[in-house]
Amino acid sequence: MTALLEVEHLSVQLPIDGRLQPVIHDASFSLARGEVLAMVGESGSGKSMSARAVLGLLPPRARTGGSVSFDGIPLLSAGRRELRDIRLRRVGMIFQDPRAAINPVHRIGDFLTEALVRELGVDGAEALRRAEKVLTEVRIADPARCLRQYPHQLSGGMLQRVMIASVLLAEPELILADEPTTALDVTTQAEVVALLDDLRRARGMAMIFITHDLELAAAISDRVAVMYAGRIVETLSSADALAHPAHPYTEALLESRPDLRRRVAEIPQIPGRPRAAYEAGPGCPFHERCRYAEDRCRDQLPPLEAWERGAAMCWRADELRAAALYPGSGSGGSVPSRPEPGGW
Amino acid sequence: MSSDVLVADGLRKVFAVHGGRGQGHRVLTAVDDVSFTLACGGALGIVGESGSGKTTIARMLAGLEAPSGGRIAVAGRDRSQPARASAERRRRGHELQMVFQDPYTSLDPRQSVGSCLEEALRLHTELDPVGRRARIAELLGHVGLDERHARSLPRALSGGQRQRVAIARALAASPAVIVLDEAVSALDVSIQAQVLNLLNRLRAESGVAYVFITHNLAVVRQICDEALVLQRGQVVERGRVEDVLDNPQHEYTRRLLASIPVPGWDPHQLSAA
Amino acid sequence: MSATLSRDPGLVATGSRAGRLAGRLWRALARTHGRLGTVGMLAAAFLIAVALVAILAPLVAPYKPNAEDLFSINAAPSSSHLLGTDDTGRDILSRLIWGARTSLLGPTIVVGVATLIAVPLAAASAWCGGKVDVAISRVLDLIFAFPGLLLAILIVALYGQGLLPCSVSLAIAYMPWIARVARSGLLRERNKAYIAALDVQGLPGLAICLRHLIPNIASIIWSQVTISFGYALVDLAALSFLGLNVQPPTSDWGVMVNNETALLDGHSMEVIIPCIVIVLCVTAVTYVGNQLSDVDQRAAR
Repeated sequence: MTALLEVEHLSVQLPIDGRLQPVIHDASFSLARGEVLAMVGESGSGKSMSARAVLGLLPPRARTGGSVSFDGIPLLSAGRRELRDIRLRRVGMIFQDPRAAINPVHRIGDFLTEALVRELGVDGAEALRRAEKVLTEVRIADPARCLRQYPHQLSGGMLQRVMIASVLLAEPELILADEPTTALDVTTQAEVVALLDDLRRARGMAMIFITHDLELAAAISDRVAVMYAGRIVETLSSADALAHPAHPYTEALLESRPDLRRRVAEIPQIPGRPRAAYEAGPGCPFHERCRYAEDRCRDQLPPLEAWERGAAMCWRADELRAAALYPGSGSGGSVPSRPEPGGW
Repeated sequence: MSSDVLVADGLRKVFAVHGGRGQGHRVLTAVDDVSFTLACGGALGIVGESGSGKTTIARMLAGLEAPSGGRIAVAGRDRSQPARASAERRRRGHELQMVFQDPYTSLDPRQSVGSCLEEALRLHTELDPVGRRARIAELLGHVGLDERHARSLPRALSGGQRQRVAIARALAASPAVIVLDEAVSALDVSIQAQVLNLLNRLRAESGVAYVFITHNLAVVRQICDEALVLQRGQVVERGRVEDVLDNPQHEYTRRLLASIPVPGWDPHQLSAA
Repeated sequence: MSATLSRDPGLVATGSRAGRLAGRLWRALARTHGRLGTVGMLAAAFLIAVALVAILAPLVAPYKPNAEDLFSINAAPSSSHLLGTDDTGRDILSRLIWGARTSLLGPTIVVGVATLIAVPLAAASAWCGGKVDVAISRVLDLIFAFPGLLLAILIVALYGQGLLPCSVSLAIAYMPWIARVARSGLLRERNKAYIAALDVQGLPGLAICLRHLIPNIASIIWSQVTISFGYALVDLAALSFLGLNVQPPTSDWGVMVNNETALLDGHSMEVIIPCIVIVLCVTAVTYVGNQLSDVDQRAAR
């Protein structure tokens, strides 16, 4: 089955401080129909930019390379009309801050029906009917009343549901969700995430879910892609994501999360700070902070090593994997220890 | 055993809110009868989501809002009403300091790190310029920054570094209590761990007490000894952190715990509840 | 992040003090270029040149402004009179140069006095809030209601003509505009976390306003000041036109523009040249002001 979205060797350069600098280097991933891919990373990882690159939502002076193809249609070289058509009908995007993405001087009803009426030529009354129906789907209590309200009268969680509703109206095949729950309370986040999941299954949509929360990513996706400094350093199934990471960064990320269940004297921390693509040197972008780093990590970029259930960009990926694949059998004993740190 | 360094009794805060078209004023009770104490050198977590009143409480503790009712005392001295006189303001600054959520707006963009700390030291200590310079180097060392950062402007620093400067600035006043209002929420996960470890170390070394405002229960587990859960301005649960997190009594606390993504988490269970 | 010209401040350049000073000047120049752009730099240079000419008038002008030469009335431009002479034989170029003094001094007094009153008022309004803010805003509203020129005429009627009454009255009229812009900028900064942090530190309110709040909106104030300068220049010229400001025979650009008989006689040099100079000055000042306020908006990350 052909993939719905195929991204190959994507690179993005943005004007920063007056110069074009790379923010994404050579990212490749694919998405099948109905699949959920989570993209996880910290600041500067390039995760938001990759979603925007797919939809052509980059700033005007950005430069892209590589290829992005949606259902066989190349997007990076697509004409404006073709791109608009895809954005209108086939791919939807949910942004992090609904208040920034929804015009505060228009009512919700106008917001939802605008695209339908103006671009798709749907009749006004029919558009409102559809809007009310989709508001019910996103579990808003009084849809008719909501249509008449203004954004400032709704809470953040409700506004995010409205944004999801606006995306659903077009009946897309793919949804790009850029940190849709980061600005929400944790209880609201759980509701919105459950809602997204139900809707997705009901409509058979594929989704790319961007987040900085690895555990959230693992809980709601089929596969996870971990990004660092503009590169995809690991892809793995969500089942493996929390237990068997094969890249030192993913492992360090998991360990540095404060544990809810027990207090520790010192949380394992990664030294240094997250790097953007343009701050990285010739070798592995993570090597300065990596506990397994060796000399060659500094000078040579590791290749992406793929195996059946994932891929990792690390010289020592095999060793990490070998250690991880042995199930823990209690204390020490037959479990081979993690590879020796490289003199850090 | 040790006396309480901070006592809040019956705190209330009421706002008059315009109700929108033709609805006149509405009264919004942001904080409703909240009481708690903080032991000397202890750490209290105040947990809640948006609208819980936790930030309002932090602002009342710091003197940025005047309580509508109730009493606040730090180190035995009452501070229920905002201070006008500069001597009193300075005294209160010496008792309680605050670290804010957004590292990108909590430092004066035109002021270098060293100048910022110098200003705090000039206000709160009797040191001469040489002594101040030494203390600045000391403070920067305590928060894990290099001495040469003293000359940097905030825009040259990352979010985590700026937050460290904010912590150093709070320490410069040698306060008995530091209120941290979501102080790590805006940081990357890997930086969060560094700052949390730093905070723990500072408390162990200097005996300063924390009031830690957050929505993140995992952070509460790592930093705090006691916890307070707020919902819509009221305390719904309180106790030692182990008790509140391992054995929650109130339904809201349980819902909060269940909403946190952990291995094996299923968001659908929560909505069904 | 840092301009390509700046270096790590820790590295002290070895070399002469003059060399270091030159280095600092160059960096300051580069920073200004970044803020103003090339056209802005030219405009600023033009303004500085005009100001210098005004200050050095006795040295620069070929003739005294009121020196009449009855043998060359309404002469065309020549080597001895570069812009020709007016109807009493006075050299137009010299009058232009000397005229720059009053023509620039007036607006300077206007914006200087206006800013000195407006900024503290705005700071008090923004910092104290509540009743103080309401009271100050009402006073400003009252002054807003008065058109500047009308106020000037009123004050001249009371205190007589001249540069000082006109400048002070315009200063009062312009003050609310600067105050309003300053107040909104100050309110925005006041709500930021760093001001709250300084408040919690225990720093006195006055110190916070002077050392932190006002400096951070300096470029907003500065841009409003430069724009007001342009308006003041034109307004004062208009007042001269009405005969309320500087009186003839003092050379002042507004007075020179006032000379309608020269126009009717077909000797337009002495009217058009000052006109052009006024337009150039106002355009330059306004351009620089716009650039400064743009930079501030861009810098608001």
